Amino acid sequence: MNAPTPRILVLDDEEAVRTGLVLFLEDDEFEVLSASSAEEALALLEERPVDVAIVDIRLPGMDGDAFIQEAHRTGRAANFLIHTGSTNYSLPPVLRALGISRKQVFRKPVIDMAIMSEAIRNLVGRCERPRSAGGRDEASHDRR
Amino acid sequence: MRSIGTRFLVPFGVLAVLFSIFILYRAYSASQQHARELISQQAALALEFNLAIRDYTASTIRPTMERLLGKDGFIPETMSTSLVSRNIFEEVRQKFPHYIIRFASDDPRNPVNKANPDELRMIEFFRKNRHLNWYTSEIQLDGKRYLAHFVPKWMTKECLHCHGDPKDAPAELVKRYGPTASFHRELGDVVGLDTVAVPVEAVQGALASEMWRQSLTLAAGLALLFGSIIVIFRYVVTQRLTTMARHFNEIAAHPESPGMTPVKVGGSDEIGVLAVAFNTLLEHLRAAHASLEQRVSHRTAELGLANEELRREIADRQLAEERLRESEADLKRAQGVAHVGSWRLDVCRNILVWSDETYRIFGMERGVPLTYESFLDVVHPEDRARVDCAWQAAVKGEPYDIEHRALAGGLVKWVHERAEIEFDAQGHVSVQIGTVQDITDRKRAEQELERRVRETSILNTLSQQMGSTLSPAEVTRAALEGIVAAIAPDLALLFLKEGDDLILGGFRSSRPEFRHETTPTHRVGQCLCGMAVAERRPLYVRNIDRDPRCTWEECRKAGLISFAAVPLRSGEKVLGVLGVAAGGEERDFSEQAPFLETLSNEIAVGLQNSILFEEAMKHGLELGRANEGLRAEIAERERIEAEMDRLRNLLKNIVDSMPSVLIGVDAEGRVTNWNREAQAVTGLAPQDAQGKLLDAILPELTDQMEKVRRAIRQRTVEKAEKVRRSQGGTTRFVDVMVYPLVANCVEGAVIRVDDVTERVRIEEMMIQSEKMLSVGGLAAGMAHEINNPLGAILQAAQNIQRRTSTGLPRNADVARECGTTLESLHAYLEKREVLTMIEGIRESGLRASRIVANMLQFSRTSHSQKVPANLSETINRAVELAQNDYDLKKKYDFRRIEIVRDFAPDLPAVPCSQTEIEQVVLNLLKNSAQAMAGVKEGAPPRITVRTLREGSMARIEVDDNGPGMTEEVQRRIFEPFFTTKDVGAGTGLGLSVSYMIVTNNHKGEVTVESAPGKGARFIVRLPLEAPVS
Repeated sequence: MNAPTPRILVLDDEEAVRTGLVLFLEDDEFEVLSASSAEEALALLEERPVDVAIVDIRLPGMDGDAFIQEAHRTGRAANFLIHTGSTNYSLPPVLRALGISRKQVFRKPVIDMAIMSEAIRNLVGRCERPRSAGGRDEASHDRR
Repeated sequence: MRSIGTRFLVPFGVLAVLFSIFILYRAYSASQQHARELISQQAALALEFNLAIRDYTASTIRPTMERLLGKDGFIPETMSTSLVSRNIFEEVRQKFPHYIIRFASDDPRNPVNKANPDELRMIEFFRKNRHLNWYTSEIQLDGKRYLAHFVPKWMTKECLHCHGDPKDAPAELVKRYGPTASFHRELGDVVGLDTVAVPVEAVQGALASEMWRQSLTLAAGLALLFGSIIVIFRYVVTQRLTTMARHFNEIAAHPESPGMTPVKVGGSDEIGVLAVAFNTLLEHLRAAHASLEQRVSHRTAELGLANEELRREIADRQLAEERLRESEADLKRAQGVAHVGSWRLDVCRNILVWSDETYRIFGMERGVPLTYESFLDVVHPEDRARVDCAWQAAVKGEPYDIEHRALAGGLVKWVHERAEIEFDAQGHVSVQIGTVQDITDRKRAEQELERRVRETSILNTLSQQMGSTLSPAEVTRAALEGIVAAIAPDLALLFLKEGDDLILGGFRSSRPEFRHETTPTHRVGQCLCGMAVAERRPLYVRNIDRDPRCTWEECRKAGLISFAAVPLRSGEKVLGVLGVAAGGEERDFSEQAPFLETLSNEIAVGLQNSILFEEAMKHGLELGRANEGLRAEIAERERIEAEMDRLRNLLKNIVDSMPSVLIGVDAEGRVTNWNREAQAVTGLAPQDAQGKLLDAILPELTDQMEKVRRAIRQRTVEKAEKVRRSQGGTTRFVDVMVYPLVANCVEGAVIRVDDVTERVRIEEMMIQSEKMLSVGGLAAGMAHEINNPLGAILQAAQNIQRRTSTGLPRNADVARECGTTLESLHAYLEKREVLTMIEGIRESGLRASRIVANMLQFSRTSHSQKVPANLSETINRAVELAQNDYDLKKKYDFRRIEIVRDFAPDLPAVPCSQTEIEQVVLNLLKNSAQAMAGVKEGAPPRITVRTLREGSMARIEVDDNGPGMTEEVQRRIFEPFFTTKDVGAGTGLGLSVSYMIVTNNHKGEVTVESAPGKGARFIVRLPLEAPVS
């Protein structure tokens, strides 16, 4: 595979959920970052931009919607998947305006994470991770 | 006397007629002669023609023919003279049929020419008179007269050739006519006769008629002439003469009359001259006559006039005397009758002359010399000034017309005087002439009348008051006022009788000193008032001082003199007494007895009425009160009855129109009332139900009979809700209410039975929905909290499975790093059934997530889009899903089940969320499959899916032939978590979710029909029109 390894950010305050996803996606050969809050995640993104951010909505502090808007604004995350336990969550118009569709919303519990993995691959294929001036980025390129 | 007209006209007429006849006769004779000559000429001419033809035949044609034919040839048509001439004349006769032209012979060859006796006579005549060549005579033929010319025919020498010896005659002739006829003639013998006869009649007829016409014209002319002469003669002569003669006669008849007028006859002829002469004569005569007459009449008139005047004068004087006498007597009589006297006052000389009647009126001796002053003496002193004043005015020209009193011999008399004044030439008053009329009687009558009228009017007023007043006090007051007004007494009082007492009812007194209140009570029989009552008759006393019956001093003290006591009688009863008194002079109240008594009667009637009225009022009031009470009671009862009727009707209508079954029962439970709904529900008519025991007619109420009895016993309302009863195989629910009848000691109850099946069903559905919604709410609240751990569990399980699987290359690497192999690890996990356990975790997690998801369905109103969907396709997909369902395949052997599809072809598209309906059908299929899974024996399992249209709904039926269910189960079948399966076999939410989808999301219905052992049928109804959300 010549394409660079897509980088994924998993943002979830529930550790078991976060860990489950991280492990699965790592097994699927993605580069996975994780954060338990939006603020932490934004800090992470400052260092390393991602191709896809998997975002829980209900979070302590800044919530998922706000995070997505911020991440989008800074351009440190190219794509988003929403992973929420809320039963009555509906995509707010402001996120729709960012091009996020209902296909990008996953409800907990995700019974088969392979589906999510597939969705990530689809998104990455569509839109590449934004370029970063960071050296680690270059390094990853070098490593390949 | 023969008139001049007759004497002149008769001879003239006779002469004229005779002359005319002569002239006519002459003209006729000449015409006759002339006609005869003409006829004769005609006859001669014809004869000449005849003879000429014969001659020509004999002398020219015959010899020629003989030459042509020879001696013996003979053609009669050319050679016989007779024949030729006859033929020719036959032709001629065509034109002149009246003409007779013939040849006759005593012995002719042709028998046509045989002579008739007249002709024979003529032949003989010619034989005897040989010198005659012709003869004319008038003959009669067939009754007509003819003028005939006869010419004899002599035998000549040529004739003998044919008429001599037959031997000499042509053979042909002999052969034709024989040898005898007309042979052997001698020369010169007359053998025949030519006759030409012309009828005289025609000519003579014409002549005669001409003659008549001439005569008539002449006669007419004569008549006209004669008439004219008569007229002219009369006008010119006779009439004028007659006029004159009549005039003379008239004059002669009336010699003395002045009518000797001149005769009016005009003209300047002899008669005119005669008339003028007469008139002149008459003029002279008249003048003489007139002068004589005038003188005589003048004288006569003078004498007559004188005579007449004398006579009239005498008559007038006699008449005047007579009239004067009569007039005087009349006047005197008239004055006596009329009580009118007359008087004459010579104003200048002051001499007053009275008529006899005037003396009588004024009560003075006749003949006493009078003056104006002596007249004034007899005038009543009180009127004297007034009379004098009027008289003074009269002298100045005012009309004198006055009524005054006079003192005539001590009597007061009323007189009416009137007078006129005559003036002398200088315009001074000379004489006053007047009349005086004694009007005393009239005045008295007037006064009497006035009094009566007043009394009557008072009586009337009183009567009215009596009629309108019904209280004794009012009656008394009115009576007293009436009396005072009518007779003005000094005292009027009224006692009312009560037993033997007379109680003063009221009084009026003009004297203040009279106070009667001091002794208000009298006794019957005492004093005048009491006696009048006792004796029942009025008492009139002129002077009470002189009457011992008056025992009451007070009256006397008060100065009363006259008194009247009139009892107040009403029928046999005496009600009281009226007392009237006057002081000063004596007064006779009996003069006013009729008034007083009538008044008393009126008062009595009034009193009686008022007494009766008071009694009647008292009774009436009581009766009225009683009546009023009764009437009110009747009205009230009627009202109540009407109201009751109305209410009864209303009640019946209400009871009948109630949608509830209403049954009235008595204490024993027998039906007394049965409304329309009861009839409708049971099919039992009210008359059939009446009197029957309720539990006998409605066995399902048997259980409720105890309640009915208790309700009646304890007088409490008893109630049984949702009592199950089966009707026509279906279960219905009814509410039974028992109301005791507590009023009017009627033992019994009213039972009300309401069919509440629908309500129960709706209630159950509501409960169902309510339950589900609460479950939904709960689920929504906790779903987030559950989903997170579930996610962790499921993700962990998935990661474990993957990291122990051989499919991930890194697994082998890590195993190797750990000093073992993936294979041995796997074998270990396998052996220790760790993998199975992990799978169990995963499956449990999945189930839990499904439950949560399902529970969430209850809370969420579907946002799914409803689009028109073909139900058949939807159902087919659901069936396909069911057939591919792993669980169904494995656990419930779905493939073993026969699926029957029965779809209505005409079902329109149903607006719905296809996936949801798919899920509903799938759930129902699963439910049926699960229900039938446990059943091993019996008919092979079969599910029938049916669609049909039901009004505005689409209906989906899912039938199975499984074990069915009890009603208890049916009622709870849609409850969440209700399941008949072992725990864990299902979520227990499938039907609930379906219910929610259908009822909540699609506003449809889900019901179940089933019975144990009879399978189950789930019915889904979806509206064909999308509900407005």
